[in-house]
Amino acid sequence: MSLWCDKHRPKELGLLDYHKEQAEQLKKLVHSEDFPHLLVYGPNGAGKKTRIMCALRELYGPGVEKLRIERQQFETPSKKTIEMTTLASNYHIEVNASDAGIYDRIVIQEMIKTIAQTNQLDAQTQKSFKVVVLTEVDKLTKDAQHALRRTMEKYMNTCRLILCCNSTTRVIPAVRSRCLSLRVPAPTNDQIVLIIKQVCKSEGISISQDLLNKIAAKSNRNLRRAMLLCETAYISHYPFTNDQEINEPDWELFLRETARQIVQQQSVERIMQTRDRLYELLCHCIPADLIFKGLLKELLLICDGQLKPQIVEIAADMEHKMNLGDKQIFYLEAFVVKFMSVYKKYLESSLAGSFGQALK
Amino acid sequence: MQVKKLIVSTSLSLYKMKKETISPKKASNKLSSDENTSPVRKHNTMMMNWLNKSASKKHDEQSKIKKSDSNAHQKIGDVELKKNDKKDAKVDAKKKESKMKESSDEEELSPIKIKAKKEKQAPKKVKMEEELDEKKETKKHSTKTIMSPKEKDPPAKKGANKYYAAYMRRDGPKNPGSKPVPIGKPNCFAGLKFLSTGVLDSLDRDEFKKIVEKYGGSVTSGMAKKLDYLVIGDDAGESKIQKAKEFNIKTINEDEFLKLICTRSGITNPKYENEVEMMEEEMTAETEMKPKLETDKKTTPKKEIKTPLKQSPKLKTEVQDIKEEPKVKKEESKEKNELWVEKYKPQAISKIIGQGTEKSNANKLLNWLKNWQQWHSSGNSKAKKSWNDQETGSCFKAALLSGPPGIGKTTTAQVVCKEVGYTYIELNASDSRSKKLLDKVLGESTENASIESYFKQKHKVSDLNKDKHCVIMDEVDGMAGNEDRGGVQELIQIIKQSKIPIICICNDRQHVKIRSLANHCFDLRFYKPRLEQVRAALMSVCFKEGIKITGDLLDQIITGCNYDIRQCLHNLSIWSSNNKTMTSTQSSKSDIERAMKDVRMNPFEACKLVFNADSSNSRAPKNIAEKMDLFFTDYSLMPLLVQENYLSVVPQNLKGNSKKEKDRNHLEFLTQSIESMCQGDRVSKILRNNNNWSLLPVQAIFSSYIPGEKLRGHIGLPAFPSWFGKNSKRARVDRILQELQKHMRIHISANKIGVGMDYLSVLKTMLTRPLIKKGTDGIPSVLNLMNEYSLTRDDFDTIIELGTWPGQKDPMSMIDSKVKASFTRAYNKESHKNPFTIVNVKKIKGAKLTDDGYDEEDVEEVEEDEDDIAADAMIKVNAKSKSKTTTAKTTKSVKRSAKSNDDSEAKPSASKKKRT
Repeated sequence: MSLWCDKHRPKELGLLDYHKEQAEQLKKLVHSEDFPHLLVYGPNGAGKKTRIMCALRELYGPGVEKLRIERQQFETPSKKTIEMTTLASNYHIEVNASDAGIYDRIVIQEMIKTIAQTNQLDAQTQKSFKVVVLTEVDKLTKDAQHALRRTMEKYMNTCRLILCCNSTTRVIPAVRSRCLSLRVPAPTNDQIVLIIKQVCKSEGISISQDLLNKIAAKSNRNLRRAMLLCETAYISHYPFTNDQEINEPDWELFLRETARQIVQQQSVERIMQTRDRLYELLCHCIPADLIFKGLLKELLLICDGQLKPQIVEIAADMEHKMNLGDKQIFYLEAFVVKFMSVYKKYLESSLAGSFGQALK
Repeated sequence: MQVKKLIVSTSLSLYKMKKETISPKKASNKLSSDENTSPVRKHNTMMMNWLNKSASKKHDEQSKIKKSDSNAHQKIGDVELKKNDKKDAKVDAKKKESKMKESSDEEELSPIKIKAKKEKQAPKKVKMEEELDEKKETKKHSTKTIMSPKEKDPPAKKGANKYYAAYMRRDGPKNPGSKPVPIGKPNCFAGLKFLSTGVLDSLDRDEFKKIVEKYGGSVTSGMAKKLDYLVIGDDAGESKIQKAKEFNIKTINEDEFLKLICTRSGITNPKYENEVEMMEEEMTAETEMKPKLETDKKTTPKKEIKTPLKQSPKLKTEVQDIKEEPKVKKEESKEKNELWVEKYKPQAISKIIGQGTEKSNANKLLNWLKNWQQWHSSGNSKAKKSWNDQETGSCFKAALLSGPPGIGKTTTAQVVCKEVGYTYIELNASDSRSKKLLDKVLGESTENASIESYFKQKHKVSDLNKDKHCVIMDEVDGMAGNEDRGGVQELIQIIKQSKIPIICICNDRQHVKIRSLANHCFDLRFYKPRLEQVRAALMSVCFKEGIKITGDLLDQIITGCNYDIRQCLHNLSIWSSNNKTMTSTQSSKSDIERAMKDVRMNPFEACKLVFNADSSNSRAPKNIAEKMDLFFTDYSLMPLLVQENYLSVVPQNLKGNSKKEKDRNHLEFLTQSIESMCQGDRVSKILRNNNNWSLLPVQAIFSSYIPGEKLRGHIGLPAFPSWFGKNSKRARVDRILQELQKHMRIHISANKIGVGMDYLSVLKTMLTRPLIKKGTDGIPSVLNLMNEYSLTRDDFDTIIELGTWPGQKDPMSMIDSKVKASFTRAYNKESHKNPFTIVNVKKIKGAKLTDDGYDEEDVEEVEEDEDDIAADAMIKVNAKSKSKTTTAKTTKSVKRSAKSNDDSEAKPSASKKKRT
């Protein structure tokens, strides 16, 4: 009994629920003799890996679904051993090189190269190439990405790469130009509603349209989250009622509370408390850009219209700087402090203004 | 011939001085003092020493010539005008000097040669014998100790010039501190007026004054009719004695004076204060340094003693010699080469700077040592811990003295040992102290008794203490490197088994190694002494060395040395070698500034100074360069320290009238500071990525200078940056999530962030809800889910741990403990075919995933990591053991099996490594 989101995952290109034209194109691509390197990118929960797996199945048949987990060890020049876990079938291997942190270049050089260099034994019955799926390419260091360039060209005959990432901005242009970029956009709310409806139907659960919409709205266009939300809702309370609370992930609640606290009071003590909360979020491995996003979203709800552009600008500025910088907490805190300063000034001036009006 | 001349002259001068009954040694001092700058001095003293030796040989001859000798001096002593005194003395000195210079050619001659020469010369011999004779008489006098004026020859007969010369050579008390001072009733001298003349036998002038004043009397400076007592010592001024007769004033000697204390307070069996002298010696110096004008200086120049205003080079050395006297007797030549630090090493606890009080560390250590045998005698080897452990250290077998260098830790240890009568073995960094050696050297000695005690019968301390000994481990924090590997651990072992007290001394108590040691030690922390304490002690040294120095200059030296007494002394001795008078002129000031100890500032202090608004603080940075220097105390820690603490600064110069305005202003400043810090952070990233370290000053400006300028104000003790802890926690969570994602990867498509953000909370409810709601009936569905996602029991715990946010209730606490137990049992019963090998991520050291590239921090992170994990593990264990002991066992077994899996995998790889 696995979770719905995994249970109802489509396994063939033809069964995909949205972006059907893209699936069609992919199918054609697979069946044409030439299969290029792919760069699949899109937000979380849009179905990138599902799509990749479908394509692989199209390429090699159902054999790709027999997965195994393997561990490999590498030694860095500084005699540090790195252990990499890979997911592999007989036809492909999936590696997340960014797991190796700053040593990812060694993983790329050693592992990918060896895989790419080996020829298929029986080229007649099989495809002449195998596929290496590299996930989270945008988290690779620049060095590692450069190491990838040559490998991609040199071993084109024996190996194809499917790169998977959230955003191409952090993938170096040299790599981008060597791949066929495939964008997988997040599903629209309507598509999410449709899919959940189907899933519920096959699970034998009746669900109201209102609730579906609610879930879709909360899911932030993330299909995985939508499915999980739906399932938690189902576990916590079934049969569904229309006014049922959708339990959001805990971190979102936490973030929202943080934003509320910032607005509530602008003082040094509050900044310190906020810092602790921000640390807490970061410690749970919530990406800092999502924290920015979440905070901003909540703050904008509370702020007056006049203030909104200014605050968005501050947030954007700080997030940008954060990506250039090193320690995320600095920028998060800077955003909080700046917001407090601006907001307090605005509050006091508007308060004074309203007092003035009242006096008149 | 030259030698002959010299000897003649010296013996002559001695001859003249006979009246003053001065011992040859003193004479030698005086002689040497006459030419204190010339190299002749050394030679001279050598000669005198030799003479002294020969004197003892010819002891018998002395008595024969004694009579003729006594006649001789009468011939010489003719009264002359006092005005001529000085002139004569000068001429005398000049003559002598020239003679000395001549004789200096002979310097290379060994004493034996000189001796040979001398013996050839018959006439000289007689004189020598005369001189020796004097010596004997001196001895007589000194043994008598009581000097009544009657015994002396009428002073009027003396030649005034000789009188003056004698005055100039006059010594301090011959036997300082030899007589116990009785404790009398307070105010027993009330209203009485005293005057002392001459040199008292055991008291110097200030001691005398002190005693008188202590009991309510007063000391006048000149003769007056109102005077009650005239206390007479050696070389008493005749005019005073005469006047005393005229005015009918009682004249008493020193002994009578001391008796007077008893009689006036009506005590028959007086108690004696022993420590008075000790205290006084320090005090004397101070009081005497204050320029005081004696009114009768002109009228009775003989009476005048040591006022700094009048210090001629002669006097200075004289003063010095007085103080050194006890040592001079032993080895004078060695004395000259001694460092001041050694020379003025305190010999008693009360004299150690800052350790005089009842509750001082030294006294704590003293009590601890005293009671050590009692506490740790064989019967109660494991002393009970009690509430006042840290007060008395009763349960500790070792003591740990810690504090900055140069404030007397080692000295304290040594002095305390001496005081309690312990013999000690001292081991410091100059000895290799590896585990082996420690075991060898200490291991034996800690279990044995000192053999010394069997031979030395005349131990000063009572017999009870005679077989006591202890070990002083100096510079424990210096036990490092390959040489001393394992030293600290071994030391701890030795402490545990020791039968004798061990005193460890270190500088940095917070050092990792020392921290483990500190748990086994009676913790005595030494702090920098206060300015006044150091000042008083240094003043006394300055005085003894005859250095004239102003108070504020001395203060500067002390603060410049960062209260390091040792360094103060070194600096003083170097400066004084050039110039004995140090006034606050520009040159000496600049000297001191240059000598400002470059104190290795600790980052916390630096952080405090970054925000410092108090310009009076001597260490406060004055310009941008100095402020930037603060950043460089630790350029990787400072940005974080500033970021951690800038919020807790209370800025001083906030504009605005109302509190509201000020608050807004404060927020504005905070904004500017944090923005600047962000800028600094970006600079830091660039400089680290590109190895462009020349950017560091830029970062200094952004990360510490600007925030410091914006938020100038008061700050408490800076907190340690929480970033380190949080960052390592994040790295750990990251690793755990990664592992979790790996376990589930076959079934899910999400990456680790997706797992963390989406799956965690769902899985948490899915895994715990059935157990909470249905109890044991929920177990199969949970197990089913776990199997589906290939989750292990550890993963289960991880999910709960990571999925719980602060402020949330721990779902595990809602599960009945019986259900939990049966759940674990059910899980263990099944065999789990996981598609992966289990690695205990939490125990992986070295953080595969420390995402930042700088090595220094890596080390720290790893350490903290371990701490975190340990803490977490502890919490878990505690929680488990409270709720259920059975499950704890079972989980352990699971872990063990998991471990064995790992081991079997790890071993081959390890062996491979070895081969390569």
